[in-house]
Amino acid sequence: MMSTRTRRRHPLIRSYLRELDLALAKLPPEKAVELRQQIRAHLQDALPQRPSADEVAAVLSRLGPPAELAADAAIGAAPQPRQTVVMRRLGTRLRRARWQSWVLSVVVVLVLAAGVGRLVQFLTAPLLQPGGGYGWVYAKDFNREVDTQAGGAEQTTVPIRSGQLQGLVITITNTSDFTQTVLGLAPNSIPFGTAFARVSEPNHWIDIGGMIANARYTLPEDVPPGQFRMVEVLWRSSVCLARGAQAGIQQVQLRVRIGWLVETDTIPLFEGWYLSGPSHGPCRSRP
Amino acid sequence: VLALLELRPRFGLELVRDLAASDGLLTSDGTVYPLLNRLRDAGLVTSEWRDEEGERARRYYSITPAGRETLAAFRAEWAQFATTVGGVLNHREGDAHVAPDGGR
Repeated sequence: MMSTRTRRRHPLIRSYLRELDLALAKLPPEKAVELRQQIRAHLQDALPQRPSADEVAAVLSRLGPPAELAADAAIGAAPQPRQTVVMRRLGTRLRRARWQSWVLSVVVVLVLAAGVGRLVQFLTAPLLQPGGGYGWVYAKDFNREVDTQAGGAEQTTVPIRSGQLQGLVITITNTSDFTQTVLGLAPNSIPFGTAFARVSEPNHWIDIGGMIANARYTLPEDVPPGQFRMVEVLWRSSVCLARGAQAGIQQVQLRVRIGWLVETDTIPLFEGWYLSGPSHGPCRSRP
Repeated sequence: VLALLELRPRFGLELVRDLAASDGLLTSDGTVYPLLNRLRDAGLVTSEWRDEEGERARRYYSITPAGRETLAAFRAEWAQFATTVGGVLNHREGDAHVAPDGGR
């Protein structure tokens, strides 16, 4: 096991991986995730524990521009037949749609036939693309995190701070042609305690060694086409953990509005985000 | 890539460095990974995660029997191709029948 935090958190690497995520958005998801993991592993192997900016820049330069990598990965990656993609997304979205959306959809179809085309566009628009977990929100956690890896799976763990706010920042990108509005977390998607989410406004923010500074967060928040946002996922930790026990998440579920539809998008985190016991003070639930 | 993997399994960066050691075989390090994935999809390469003591887990790539067959076929074709091209490049004027008037 080996800590990879310093390398992963380098601003140049963050920036490169964000560009790569954007470039890979048009590939089939399993291919995009695989290539992202390969590039992350390459960076971990190629860089020392505490690399200088010059060392990082040299390794990234040798890797090549993200757009070129994505173009290369698209060669031979037989594009899924458009019909298949459309029907799969349509099926997924229809199963997720609330009954209000059904009624609304029916009314739209009956009253305004032209609206059907628009609806299909919403139904088949790409989901928000994940960029993985960015880092722990609070310095108390950031400074005590332990990063581990086993069997190809990465995990970052911090001690639980019972009764206090803890959280992580994730990144999302809207690769569809429509503005998507993040409404909040899906109910019960975070098992650590009462949770909520906030989305960064498109203001200037800075990365200080892996922690975000100067960002302003709000909710609901629009994510226009082609833009990315950070999402703070916060919770007041109340889960009961014995000494040595851990509870973690591998994904976050967001409620998202696109056009007339409200749906739940599952955002994979690419690594496990864990709290470790023991809990202090009263706790209410078990993972 | 197949020729290197024929010798022994390698992880990504190892493969990149060995290829980079041969001038001109690698335009950028990142291109190795899409290539490996295509070879894997074609059944010529396989991969597995290995946990070695004191090291983080790494994904090692190995050549498959189908990959060895493809490599052997390529070697045979390449040898033939290299012989043909070498014959053309090393062709000397005196070796051919050329008319005294230059062929006019």
